[in-house]
Amino acid sequence: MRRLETALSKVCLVGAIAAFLGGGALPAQAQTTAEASGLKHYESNSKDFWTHPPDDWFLGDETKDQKGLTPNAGQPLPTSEAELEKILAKIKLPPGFKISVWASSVPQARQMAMGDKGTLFVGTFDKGTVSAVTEVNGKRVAKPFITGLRMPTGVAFMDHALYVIDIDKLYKYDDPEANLEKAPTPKVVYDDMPPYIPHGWKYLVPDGKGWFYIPFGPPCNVCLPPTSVSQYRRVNPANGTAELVAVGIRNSVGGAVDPRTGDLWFSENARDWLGDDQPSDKLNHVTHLGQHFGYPYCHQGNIVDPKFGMGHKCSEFTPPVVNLGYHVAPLGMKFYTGNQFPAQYKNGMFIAEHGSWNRHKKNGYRIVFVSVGPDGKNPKETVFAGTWLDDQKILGRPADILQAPDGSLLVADDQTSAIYQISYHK
Amino acid sequence: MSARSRLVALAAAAVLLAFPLAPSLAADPPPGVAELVQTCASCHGPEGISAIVNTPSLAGQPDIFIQYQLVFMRDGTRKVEVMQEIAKNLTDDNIRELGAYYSSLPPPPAQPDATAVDAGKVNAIISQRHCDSCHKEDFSGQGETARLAGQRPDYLVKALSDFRAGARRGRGMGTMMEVSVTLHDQDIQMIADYLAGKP
Repeated sequence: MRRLETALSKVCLVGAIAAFLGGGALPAQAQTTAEASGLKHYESNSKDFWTHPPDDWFLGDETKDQKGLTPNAGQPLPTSEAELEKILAKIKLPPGFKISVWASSVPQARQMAMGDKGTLFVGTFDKGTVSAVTEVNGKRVAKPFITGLRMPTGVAFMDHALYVIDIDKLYKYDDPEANLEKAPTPKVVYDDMPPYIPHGWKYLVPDGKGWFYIPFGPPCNVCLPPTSVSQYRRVNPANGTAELVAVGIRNSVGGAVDPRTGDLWFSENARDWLGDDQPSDKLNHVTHLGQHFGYPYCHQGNIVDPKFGMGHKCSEFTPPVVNLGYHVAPLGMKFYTGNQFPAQYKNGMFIAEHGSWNRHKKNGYRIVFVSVGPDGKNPKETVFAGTWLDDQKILGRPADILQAPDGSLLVADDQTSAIYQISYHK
Repeated sequence: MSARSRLVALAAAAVLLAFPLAPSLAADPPPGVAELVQTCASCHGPEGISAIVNTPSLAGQPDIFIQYQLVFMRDGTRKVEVMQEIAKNLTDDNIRELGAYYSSLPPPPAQPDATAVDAGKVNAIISQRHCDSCHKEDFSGQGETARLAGQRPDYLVKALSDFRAGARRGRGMGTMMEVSVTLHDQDIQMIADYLAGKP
């Protein structure tokens, strides 16, 4: 079950066959209606679906209005450096900022983490590898450092160790920069996690106290999820203990801790197949343990789910601080704490928007900046860098943000397999 | 001479017997690619339309689809014996150029040797499996999904049978196995003939 989010045209759907092969019990009438209308449909509310989803599980709630939308094909090869320069020349930034290629041919670049000696470790989506980017003769080169994993999207560097999260295993690699030709044997420091692959790819948010916040996504588009997912946990890699932090969350692949308060803020991808202009993806703020952010009952703070509302009202749940936009797909994010950028950027968040697939007119494909009070009040959002679109043609898909030691921003793009650098000069 | 190279040489020889030694290529490829394309043409045909059993036509295949298949063959993910020696030496730029070149060629016309089929019967099979969602309603393919219209029927039989058996590696394996696993051999033949006969 590897090629999910980027598995474009693997999309031949077969509601009938899925049911035949045990894709889940579907009320006969609903199945006939869906079949008769030619719309793709899967019943995603069963353990069988979660453990053996069809390759195109995310297409299972197709509607007439959005019929035929499929995720982006991705790119078999990294975008060449020459082509990247051309693309970056079109990216708009505020005055004084510029964007350049920091490293090209970094396969499916996802979450980034910098080692003590300046090695950049980068996760991938479904290539199963973690790359190490180093400078060789003045040029940055990415090499596979860890191989043989499944979906190691999340990485972090803490206390001289590289941590990698691969669906249901959190690995620790001690002192990885000692020998970049051969990764040390890892230790599994936490694995009390469900094995579900759909939305199972994760991100690591160091909390600054030695623990990680880790998101868990539901193995469906919209369903009553297993209780082991749709949540954030805070995990201690030193001894494998964990606490449940927040629930009612759909697919989050990015978060950051506010340096002013220590609070967790996280991006969240809302459900698909409700429409081009609903619901919005979200930026959320955790203020106390056990907060419920609405999924699957309520979306974007004010839309009760037509099927999974189950009698609830949106007022029962914590609304987002910012509705980021329909299907923009916010992923990696960081609070800015550097001194290179002008003062107004300090303690604000940069969020990478991977870009939409479940919308006729594409949305996202850019980086936004959100400034907000430490109490979560008075948010202001602006588009910071973008867009990686040429009309409806995708030029790139930002997936993560990292602040470099000099205060510039590194941006990972898993479509072009490149890392960009955004710097500011007066 | 290794078994592989012998096979490539044999295949090339077989084609060269049927075609002039230096076939003139449709829509002249850019200078760097012309030499590469000569190698491809020896099996896949001078216009990307194959005259060899079990060798697919490449003309009009989507760019990304061609790139993915070459990348898989180069990595060894997809094992096609005759392609192994050729693919392993391809650079990223070669792959991009080949994708661009073959996708720009006029697609094969409806195959003349495709047996006439009962369209009603085929549609019953196809519509249930939503083939058009990926392959499009005219079966011209898109993105990483292959063009099926006008493809050699013997190759379509081979590809569907390989997917059904789980023998075909690369993208689409899971979905394609799911749609083909309940197909009988005669269904596969019928579908292949139907698609081959599509303009």
